[in-house]
Amino acid sequence: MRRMVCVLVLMSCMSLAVMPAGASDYTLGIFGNANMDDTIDEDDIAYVEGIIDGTNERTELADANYDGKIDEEDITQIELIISGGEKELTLIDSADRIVTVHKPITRIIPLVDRDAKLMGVLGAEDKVVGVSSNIRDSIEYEIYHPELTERPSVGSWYTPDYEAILSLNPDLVIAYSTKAAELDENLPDITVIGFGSSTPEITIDQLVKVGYILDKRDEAEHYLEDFHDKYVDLIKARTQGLSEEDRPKVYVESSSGDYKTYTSTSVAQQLLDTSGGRHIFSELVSHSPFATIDPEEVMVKNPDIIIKYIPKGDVGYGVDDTSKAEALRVEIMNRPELANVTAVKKGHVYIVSSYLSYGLDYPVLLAYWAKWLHPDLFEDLDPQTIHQEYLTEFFGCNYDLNEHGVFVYPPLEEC
Amino acid sequence: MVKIKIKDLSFSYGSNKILDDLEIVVGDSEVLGLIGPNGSGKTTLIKCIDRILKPKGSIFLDGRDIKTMGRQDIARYLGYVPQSSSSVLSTTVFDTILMGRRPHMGWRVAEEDIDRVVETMELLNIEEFALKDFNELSGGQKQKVLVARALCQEPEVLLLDEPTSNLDLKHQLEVMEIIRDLVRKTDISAVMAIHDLNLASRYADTLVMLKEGRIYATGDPVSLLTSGNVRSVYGVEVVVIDSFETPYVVPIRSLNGGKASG
Amino acid sequence: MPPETAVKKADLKEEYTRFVGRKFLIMLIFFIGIIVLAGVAATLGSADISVGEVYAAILAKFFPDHFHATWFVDTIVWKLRLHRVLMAVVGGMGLAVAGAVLQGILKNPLASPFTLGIASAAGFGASLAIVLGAGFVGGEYLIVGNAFVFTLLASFTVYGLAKYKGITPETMILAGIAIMYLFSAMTSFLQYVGTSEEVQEVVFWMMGSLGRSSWSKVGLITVVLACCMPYLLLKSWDINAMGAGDETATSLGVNVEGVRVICMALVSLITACIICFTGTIGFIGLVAPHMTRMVIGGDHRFLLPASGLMGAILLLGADTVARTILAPVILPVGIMTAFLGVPFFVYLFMRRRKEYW
Repeated sequence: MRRMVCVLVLMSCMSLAVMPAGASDYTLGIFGNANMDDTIDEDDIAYVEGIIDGTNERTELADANYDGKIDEEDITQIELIISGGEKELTLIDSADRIVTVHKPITRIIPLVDRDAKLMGVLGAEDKVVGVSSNIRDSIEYEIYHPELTERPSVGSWYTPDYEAILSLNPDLVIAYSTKAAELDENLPDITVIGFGSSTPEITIDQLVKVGYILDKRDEAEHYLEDFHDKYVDLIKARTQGLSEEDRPKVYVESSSGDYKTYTSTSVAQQLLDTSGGRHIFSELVSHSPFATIDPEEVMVKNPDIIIKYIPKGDVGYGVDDTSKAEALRVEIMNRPELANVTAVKKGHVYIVSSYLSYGLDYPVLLAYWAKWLHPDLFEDLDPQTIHQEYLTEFFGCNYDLNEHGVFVYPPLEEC
Repeated sequence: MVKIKIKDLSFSYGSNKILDDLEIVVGDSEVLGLIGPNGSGKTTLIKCIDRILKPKGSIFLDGRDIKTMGRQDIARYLGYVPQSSSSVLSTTVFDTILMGRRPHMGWRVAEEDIDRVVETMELLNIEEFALKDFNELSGGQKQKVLVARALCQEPEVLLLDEPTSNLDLKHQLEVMEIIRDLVRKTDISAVMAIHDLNLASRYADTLVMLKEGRIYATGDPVSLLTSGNVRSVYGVEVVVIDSFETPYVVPIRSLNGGKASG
Repeated sequence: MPPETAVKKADLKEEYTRFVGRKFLIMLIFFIGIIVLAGVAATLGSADISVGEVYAAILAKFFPDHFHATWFVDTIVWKLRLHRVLMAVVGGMGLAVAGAVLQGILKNPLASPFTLGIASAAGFGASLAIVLGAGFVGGEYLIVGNAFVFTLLASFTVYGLAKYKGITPETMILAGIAIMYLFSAMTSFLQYVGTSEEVQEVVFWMMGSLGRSSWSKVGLITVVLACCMPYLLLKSWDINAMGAGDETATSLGVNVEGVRVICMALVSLITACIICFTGTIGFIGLVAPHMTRMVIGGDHRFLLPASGLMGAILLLGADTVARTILAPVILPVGIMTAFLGVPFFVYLFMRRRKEYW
């Protein structure tokens, strides 16, 4: 215990604790969203009118055309946004930069692979004219976006080749948030927007924003209503009322090393909270989502379930055999220090592929976890079907999960 | 003219007193030999005079207090020839000697500087090595180069630290001859720390005998080099032969315990 | 004097003049080499534009009536390529001169701007900015400011430690090594608490890259070099003398400690200015002076400027290869220069001759 405290004190002293913003105060960061809620609609027009005649407080986002004044022109702009006909759209990106996009956008270059998937879900992959080398070489993309792997490469996401980008004459470049300013400097006259999807909320936020940019609001809505929210809300509803004792204790280990687990600021914590589990290391507060802990702590906390991530190359898209996942599971079950832990004794050790993470396939991951944690509550839920739906419905891809790809071990039928 | 006047000089390394209360005078055209056993402070004294080490006491160069002189000024007055020099860098002999012109040069090398280097090389008979790498020369040749370098400083006094220790017989004599000739022909003086008593006897005009950091005796070779003095200072039994121009010291045996008596 | 002696003397003088003249010639060749290499480098890149278009765009800036270029070519040449090429030139020059000076004043053939712990300190500054967002100058200059300040801090600490024990090559090198280990350890700790993206960013930063160059940065480095170089050149004789030993140098009138301290300060300043923008690019400061010494000898009056020219060639060459060999993937230039170092040291090892180290 004392060692644990020392680790905590050390980490708290040496790092900044960053807590993610709660989902409840989500504001859509597009200028025109005067009432600071999650959408741009008639209510915003009403709100701006209220500002003009003094009944409402000024908000930053009420200045829809970003000219420094709040007036009739902003109302016109909001009306255009609602109808999808605006010429310019100003929004706040993930790097807190204010970016003005000139519509229509017809030539996009996404640099990070997660962002390119946004295009797919919104049916806009034909607008992608160039991709980073990471995307080109990605197995995932081979599977569900093969046309994107044919697009010309513009270098890596970290060191892009500016000349190649300029040569493709794009009107929008989607960069990783920390690199956005640098790219902007080196690509004069090209709009650069910075995205940094590190949590499911941010991913959704970006999806919505891109929906506005590309006039694909309906497609974004469709994804949210008929896929994301549908499953996430379903799972939440059933786990909400669970008491502490009904929530199994879970130890989650990352793919990057033994006893490298997740802190309270990680997505793993969120996943467990939503799927009805108790994260045994939720007291770890740190700037980083990772932390290496002492194996003894795991023994002491005696988790009911162990979930381990396996690296992308070992299983996932393009890998049909389960041997690596099996071997990993066996390795965990054979760890002498874990021999008496409930999870090992009962065989509740699950391997999950790192392909499934906090991107747009988040509901799939959540479904698997929910199923493992509460099989009785989710008998009607089949994560693989959800996954298949994700692939077929949103990417038009024929990858048959019954025949191909390994994403979890042991396979659900055997659990 | 009194070239160097040293008064009340002492020097310590930390708490070790190396030199104590020294008084020395060096005149025009004079070769002054510093003799004494190892550890008597000869090398330290040379370095103190050239301000490589900072002693207590006063040193006057042609009447000027050395403490009031800038480094460059001292370099124009005193030319230091170290015992040996191995340069880690590879330099040509010419460039090594040219270094001696530093106290007189700006950044640009003047015609005059080159002339001076060439003259000095001729004087010491080392022209053939001009563009060779300094490190490739033999000990004797290197020593000549170092003397040449010091000469290029156009000093009033040459300070030599054991100029002959690493040399063979021929070169020992050559170097000593050159120094004595220089001193005789110009009004340069030389102060040299030397351990070979016979070379000291033959080539020095005045000898200063150091024992344990203090001056034991000063005088010309004839009066100074007696078996009594040598026994006291070196702890060695010798026979002094007077039949040559200058005294010749022949060592007989070391005294018991090796420590000097008296 | 007798005629033969007069002839001999004239011969010797002439030989020496030719000897010196050869060195000027070599520097001229290096200089031309830079111009040629820069000319070639400016024409290389992913954009599909011809050599003629590149030069037309360059000339169009100075003679707008006779040459013109499209917006595209102009942007590529003036906003992307040229300042990167020039950054390689001035950066390589600065690092090489810094290395040559350090090798001279420390009498150590393996000295480089990074021997005194400078690189590790810069890396730490960058990590601090990237992982903890903490630093001296806010906004986009956070990393740059940190790297610069910590570099100088490291030099200052080395100086402080050395002063305590005497400013000799040995104490400075030992102090430098201690500083290097200190900052490396602190950087490792930051990497440990960082997220994987942050760690990756730190690693990439430390590999060195010219991709963040800009005209203002090139200008700044040029100004710093222009201010520091004259002093260093002026002190070339002193550095030469120091090579013969501290005592000899003192006897020749050199203020050994003073020169050592000021040179170290200038070297740190030059290095800090360059690596705060480019990240830690190794080997140029080590290899360029060596290679130059092999052709031009150890006289610092020539070695310093010639090393600078050689450094420019090396860095420009390395960067050009780094950005074209796997186009459009751009390799960090620090990797290229590290590859440079390997065959060079193998070569030194094989030669086994005492001269030139």
